[in-house]
Amino acid sequence: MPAVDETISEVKGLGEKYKYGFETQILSEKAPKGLDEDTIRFISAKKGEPDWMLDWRLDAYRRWLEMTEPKWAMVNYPEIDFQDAYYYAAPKSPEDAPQSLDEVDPELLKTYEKLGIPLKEQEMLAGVRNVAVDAVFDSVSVVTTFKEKLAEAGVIFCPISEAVHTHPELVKKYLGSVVPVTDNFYATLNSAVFSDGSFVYIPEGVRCPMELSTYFRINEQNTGQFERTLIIAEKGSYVSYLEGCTAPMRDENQLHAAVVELVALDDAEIKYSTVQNWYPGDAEGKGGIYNFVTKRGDCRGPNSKISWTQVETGSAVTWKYPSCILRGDNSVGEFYSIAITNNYQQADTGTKMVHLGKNTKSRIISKGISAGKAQNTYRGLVSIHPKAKAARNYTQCDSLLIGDKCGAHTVPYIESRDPSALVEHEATTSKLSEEQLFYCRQRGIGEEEAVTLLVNGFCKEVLQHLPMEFAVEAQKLVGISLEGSVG
Amino acid sequence: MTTSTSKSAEGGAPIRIVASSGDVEAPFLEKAESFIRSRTGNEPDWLQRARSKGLEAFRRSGFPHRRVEEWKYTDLRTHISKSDASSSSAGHATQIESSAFDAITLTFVDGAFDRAASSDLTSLSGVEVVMLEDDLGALVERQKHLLCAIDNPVTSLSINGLNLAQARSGAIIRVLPGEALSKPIHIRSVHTGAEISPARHVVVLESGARATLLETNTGDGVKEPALIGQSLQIHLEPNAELSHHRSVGLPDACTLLSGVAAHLEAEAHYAGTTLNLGAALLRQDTHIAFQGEGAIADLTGAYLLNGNQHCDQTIFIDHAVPNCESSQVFKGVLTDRSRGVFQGKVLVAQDAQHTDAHQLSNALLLSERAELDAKPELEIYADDVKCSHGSTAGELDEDALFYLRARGIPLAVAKTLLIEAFVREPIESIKEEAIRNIFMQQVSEWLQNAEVRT
Repeated sequence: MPAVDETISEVKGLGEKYKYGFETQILSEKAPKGLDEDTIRFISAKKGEPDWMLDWRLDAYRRWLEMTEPKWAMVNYPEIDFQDAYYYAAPKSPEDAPQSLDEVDPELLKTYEKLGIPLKEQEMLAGVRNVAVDAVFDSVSVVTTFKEKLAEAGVIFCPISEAVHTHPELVKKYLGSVVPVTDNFYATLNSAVFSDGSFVYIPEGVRCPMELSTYFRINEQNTGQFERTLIIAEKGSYVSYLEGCTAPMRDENQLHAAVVELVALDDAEIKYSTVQNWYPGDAEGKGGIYNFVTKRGDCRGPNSKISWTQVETGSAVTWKYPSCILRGDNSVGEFYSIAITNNYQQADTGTKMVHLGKNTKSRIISKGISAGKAQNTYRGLVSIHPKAKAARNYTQCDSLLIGDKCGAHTVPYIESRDPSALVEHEATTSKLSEEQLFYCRQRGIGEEEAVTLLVNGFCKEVLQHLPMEFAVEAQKLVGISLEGSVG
Repeated sequence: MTTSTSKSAEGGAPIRIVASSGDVEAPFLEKAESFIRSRTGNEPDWLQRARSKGLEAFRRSGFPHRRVEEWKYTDLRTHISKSDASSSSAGHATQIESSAFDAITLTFVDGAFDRAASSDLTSLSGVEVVMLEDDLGALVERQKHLLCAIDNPVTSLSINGLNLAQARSGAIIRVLPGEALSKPIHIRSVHTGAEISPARHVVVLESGARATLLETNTGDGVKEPALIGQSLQIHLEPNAELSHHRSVGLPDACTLLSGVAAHLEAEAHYAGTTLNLGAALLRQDTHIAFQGEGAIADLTGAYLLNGNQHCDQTIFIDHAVPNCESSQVFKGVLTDRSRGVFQGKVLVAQDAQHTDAHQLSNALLLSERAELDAKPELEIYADDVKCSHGSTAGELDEDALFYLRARGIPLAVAKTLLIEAFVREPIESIKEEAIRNIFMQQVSEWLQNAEVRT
């Protein structure tokens, strides 16, 4: 009997006792449960990070210990036990993955179908074994061409864990410069334990030749939990970045706390689009992701522009305020948002526009849709500083209520300290028009379809700001998110 | 302790009411304690007990801190702890003489009722007026309840508690069922600079009653820093109608904390107008609670500020029942280093279908150092409702100015014209001509004195 078999039979004999030992072996790819300095050292070591990065994380961790969770948002969820969670898990081994689509949750597949996602792509999204990401785009060549094109333009687009090694000077300079380590409880937690995310650098005067998407970035799996993204647009450059995808994402980790930092230098423009469709929990409100995100853009140079577009349909609890610091003169900040909550979902989302420079302009269009027993809050700040001469803001927040058990709330903060600034805020709350619904029904359109149609009309202003690739799917997503909300 | 880090919408410390360190509150506690003792035996037990409860509420949390969300933009503690009465300028408002029009006048000098300067309370018809310091044996339960109520979502419990604990005087007014008072009731508060005690008024309009209530605050004599506390509890029974107009023109030595809570039963109508021409710090809390269907509340106001004045309008409208209407229209004119705050919240409960609620805040910033903070908030749990809010802040419309100047109107006059037109809207909603004229006149005088000309 070969030695190996011998060991196995011995192990079998040990029964229960060994079972735990065996598990530990698998767990070596995971940091032990809980969070302390060792967990952070473990994460850093796994990624082979340089000392300065580890110190940065540890510093954040020590500050995090002294902070308390924010409680002001209009969301309710049970107390989070931060010691009862895993903070690092290596990508899943292929053995754990489903062997084919037959093993994937049929509910999930149904949704993919409704979204019109091609079969190959479905396999990748569901994490089916042995499907390379390249395959999704038909051939390796697409990815290769894509990489070649970017390299030619001088664009750096890689995982942030890679950038720490290849471009430490850029990471050191910009990481934490927009969202300081101690910005808020979740941002500090993210700074301590961030898993991975994108790093984008657009050199001076370059217009990024294509839309950058997390889709294309290989190495994407399992970075969702504590994602960290850093985008730097040098003078006169342009980039459009797409985050997330319309397909529903399942994740074992309930707590998500991402940080996104954007830096736009003189005359640069960054367009950042998000479709967030994490697992919202079931119809009874069980499970679902807690999504506590800090996103901020810094219009550092004159004439720069940052535009946020978001479609938020997922997560049980969303807490997210993509913001713009309009530091450079004539800089522009935009925020276009659709937030849809159904069943027991709760969303507290909005933006902050901080006007510091002269002639800065901001525009906020927010559409909140609340159905079922959901609560949807717009919370925003427009702040005009005394030096922001001739600043201009326009804000419009509309809420739509579907059903009589949900809530829609608007909490704007407006602070104006300059007489030449013009700040306008408008908000309305209404329900789905019965007349419009009747009109559609009369023409033989099914009730759900009619609701989708009307809601899409309500959101049109925001949807048209999404890049083409997203817009079509996002429209379908609106309908899917509202399933079961009428009738 | 003073902490002035402004809490951002995203980060910041959690809201926590910090127990007072005592230095700001100590003199107030001491005064209230000895006052309550002095009243023992002179007033009913139920009032004594309520006063003690009020004092306890104040002792527990003290004056609100800026970390309390409702006080985010108004730093009351620092303001009270500052004892220097720098730049004390006289108020701009004209003294409203009771002879200006025929009214049931109730004069309070430094918070104490002045019988000689008031109308004869024994010869009134359709209305009963009792003073807080008088025999309270004839009060109905509702009046007692309102007098003792300090639990109100807008005015902090501690401020309301302190008011109850310290109130020396106050008018307890009851308009009898179906009566329509021909003369307005004028609560005239005059401050002279002597020690000021808070006042606590109660107004009940029984079913179908109608009345007009005018409140004025003047105090040209005040030179030393003074804290004035006023509370008004209103209850409107079914079909009752109250027009309530307030005008404040206090010198910069004064801080005024004024709280109004109105409870509206079915089909009741409350129309409130405020005109604020200053006080170093003025905080007006207004709470409207709808208790019966078909009730209407219209709130309008204008504030014109100069110097370092700070005016805070905080409004909470609680649509707890269906089919009610509410509107808010507030206009602000800010010059010099003044600061205006508008916090208006509308809460629509799940049952409150067919609610109609509108909210509008407009402000003119006429100086480089003026500041406006607005927080128009909607919290809605019912789907068949019409709710909207709007807020603007900016300077005078250049095109309008140009238009006037092109027609030969000097810049200063053109500006005055435009400002006057801007603040006119809320004042024009006053139905009673005599009061409307007085308010308009006050605005005109303010404009003449103000340094808005360049």
